[in-house]
Parts: sequence; structure tokens; C-alpha cells
Amino acid sequence: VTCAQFRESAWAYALGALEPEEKRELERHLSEAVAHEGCHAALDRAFSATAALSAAIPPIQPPPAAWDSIQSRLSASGMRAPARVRGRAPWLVAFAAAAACLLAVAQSLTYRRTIVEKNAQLAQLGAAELERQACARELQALKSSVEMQRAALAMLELPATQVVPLGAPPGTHTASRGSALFNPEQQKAVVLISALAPAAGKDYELWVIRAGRPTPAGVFKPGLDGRVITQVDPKILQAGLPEIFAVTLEPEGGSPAPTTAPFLLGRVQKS
Amino acid sequence: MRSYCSNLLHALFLLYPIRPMTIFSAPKRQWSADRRLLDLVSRGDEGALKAIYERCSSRAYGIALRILGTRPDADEVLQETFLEVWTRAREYSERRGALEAWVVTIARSRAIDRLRARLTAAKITEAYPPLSMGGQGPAQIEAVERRQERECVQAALNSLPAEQRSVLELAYFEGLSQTEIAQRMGDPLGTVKTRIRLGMEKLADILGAAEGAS
Repeated sequence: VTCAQFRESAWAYALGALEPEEKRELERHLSEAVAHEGCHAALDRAFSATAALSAAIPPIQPPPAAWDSIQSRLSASGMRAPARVRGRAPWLVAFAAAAACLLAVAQSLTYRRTIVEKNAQLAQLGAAELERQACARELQALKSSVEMQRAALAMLELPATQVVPLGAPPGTHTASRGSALFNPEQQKAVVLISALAPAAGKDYELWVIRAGRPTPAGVFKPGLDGRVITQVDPKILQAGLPEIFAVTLEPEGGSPAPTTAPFLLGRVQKS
Repeated sequence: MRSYCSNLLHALFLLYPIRPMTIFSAPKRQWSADRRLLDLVSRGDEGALKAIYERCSSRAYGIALRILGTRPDADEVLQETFLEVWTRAREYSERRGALEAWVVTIARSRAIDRLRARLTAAKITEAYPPLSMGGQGPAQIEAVERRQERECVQAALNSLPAEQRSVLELAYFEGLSQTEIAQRMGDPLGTVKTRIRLGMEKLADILGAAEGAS
């Protein structure tokens, strides 16, 4: 793909009207470390125009209970922010925040400009506490997946390891993307997926498909960042070489056989 | 006290915009405020998500209902949209439009996913008639500036040749690829590609000119 071809196709890319292979080619071009001739600007312009199309539709107020449903799903999926740590520090933060609020209000009587600065300080104070909580969550998530990350990195160093891209089946679309690292010699596989949305009351399930028959290969929920890294049970791979890796959305706890169409598929190349 | 301060923080962010949000133009100052609002969301601040919901949900719901045609499906997509905002807040890029546009783009993608899944998995052959673009339900709320914006986009769409408008609507509202559009319309793929390119270029020019004039 040349820059001129990219600029021409950027409109269809932003509309989501490209076939998966065309889309991948454009994305490959965009990630190339070359001097692009207006590719990024063309894509930004295309995305802006695409976003504007939605304005042709009148906004409609959702049902009053819609927000409650979202909150419930946040709780059910374990994605809700953890409660603040009990102890003195949060109260100190709250007290300091309150003091800063009062100070800002008092100053607003005489110095309108100063209040904006105080508000910014207040926001930073709150943000610092939130930052601490976010770091703690991320650290926890990293700890739980570090072993599998090591396994994935070790597999990548082996010449026999195949990287199987996982993408939307033809004619479908998903924001999720992934890769299955498969080593037929060691009969090991690690699957990495990104941009998975949480789904209340449901789990994602990985399948290893051989001769058209799917075998359950793991049930998982996405992390806070929408990512998942999971290792396939070696026993499943010892039963025979996989032909396809697939991911579906299933009822919580997983299913013995897929109940929905896969939204991610990747075919293993025959060696 | 904590709750009070948290609410106050959110109020500050809500009050920050200097003029009402529009979907294809927003002052840089507002974008910066949006970025900070999303930073809070990415750190697990549910109040910040609520603020975004209050601002963007009616647009997201409108587009989901337009694509899917049924309220239960649109309800589900709305929930998925804001759960995705919750998990993907860090990915927001101001270069590609305002916060509201980003949320609507997510809603559209999820609605198209659901439309395709519904048609594929259930093999439903009956048509799902979309809502009329001019329909005015009693529950609709629309500020004056939003109506003007909608009229501007509709006028821009109407100014396109019918064949260009058709391909854009099939791609945007039904999520069809260029190949699928060519098959449905019985036109050569190259013709469809050209129509999409010309239609989008013209639309961008018109909307860009309108934005510059406002």
C-alpha cells in the first residue's frame, strides 16, 4: 500500500467498510516507520467526517433505568473501582480536598482567576488518590499474568512457534484482536487478546477446533484494561494438532459446546 | 464528606466547558477537559463515567436504535457502550473528534456487531425496518444546537448524489463492507469504492465549511 492508496482508502477504513485483509494492509502501512505523505491527516479527517454522520440521527433519551443497569453490570463483572482503603489517609485526602474547596469558594468572591487555579489543585489532589488506586489494581493484574507473559515470551524465542492472528470471521466486525502463540513441538499454546469488553453474566471461552469439532480450552473474563492472556491446557493439545483457535461469548462458567458464533478466529498454518 | 468532594470534583469538570458540545466541533479547551474526564474514568471513577453518560447517552441510544430498530437491543448496546468507555477510556484520541463522537462511534460499532450476530446466528430473514430518520418520539430530547447540527448533516447528505448517499448509509447504518454493498446494489466494486470516496470527501468539505462558518 502506498501513501496515495492509503489516503484514497482512508474513507472506507473510517466507515468500517473494508474487508479484513484490506484493513490489515492499511494498518500495516500506517505502522510503517516511513515518512508518510498525509496518511495520518487523511485518517483523522475521515474519522471526523464519519463521526459527523451520526448527527443525522435524532438523539433519544434512554430509559430511566439504563444507568442503573450499567452500574449493575460494572459490579457484576468486577470492573467497579474498589472501595477506598480504610484508614486515616483517605479521610486526610477528603479533609484536604474539602479545605481546598472552601478556600476556592472564599477566594471566588474577590479573585475569579484564582478559583480556577484552586480547582485545578483540587482535581490533582483527587487524581493522585485515584492514581494510587489504579496503580494498585494494575499491579495486581500484572502479578497474576506475569507467569503467562514469561511463557509467551519464551515461546516467541522458539523457531517452531507459530503466531496465529485472531480476528473477526469474514463478514463480521469486532474491536477485539488477538494472537495465539502455538508451538507444535512442545505442544504449548498461549492466547493473548485485547479490547475485550466486559459482559455481565457471561464469560469468554476459548475453543480449539479439530476436524470441525470444538474442544473447550479455557474460560476467562477480560482484565480492567480489556486484555487477556491465557494458556491452553497441554492435554488438549496432546490430543491432536489444532486447526483453528476460536473465541465465543458464553453463559457464565462456560459451555461444553459453543452456544454463539465465534467473534474471533485464527487458523493454524499446516507445517 | 468524601461523597460531597467527589461530587464537587465532577461538577467542576461538568462546568468546565465554555459552550455546548457539538459532535463535529469542540473547542480545544473542551477537548482538554474531556481528556481529563476520561483520565478519571480510566482510574475507576464511576462519577466521571456518569457525567459522560449524562452527556452522551441520548446520542448513543439514538444511533443504536436507528441501526437495530428495537429498544431491548438498543438498551443492551447502550450498556455495552458505556462498559467499553469504562475499559477503553485511555484509548480516546482528541485528534479524531470530540468525546461525544467517540462514544457514538463505539455505540455504532456495538450495534453493527449485534445486527450482524442477530442475522448470522439466528438466520433471521425478516427485515428489521429501521426507525424513520425524521421520527420524533415523545421521549426525545434535543437541544436547539443539536437540531441545527442534525439539519446541517442531513442537508450535507441530501446534497450528495443519490447513489453516493446510498452507499454511505449502507456502510454507516448497516455496517456493510464495500464488497457487500456492491453485491447488494449489483454495482461493480470499483464503482462502490469511488462513490464512497467521493461522497465522504464531499461530506467532509461541506461539514468542514459549516464548522468554519460557525
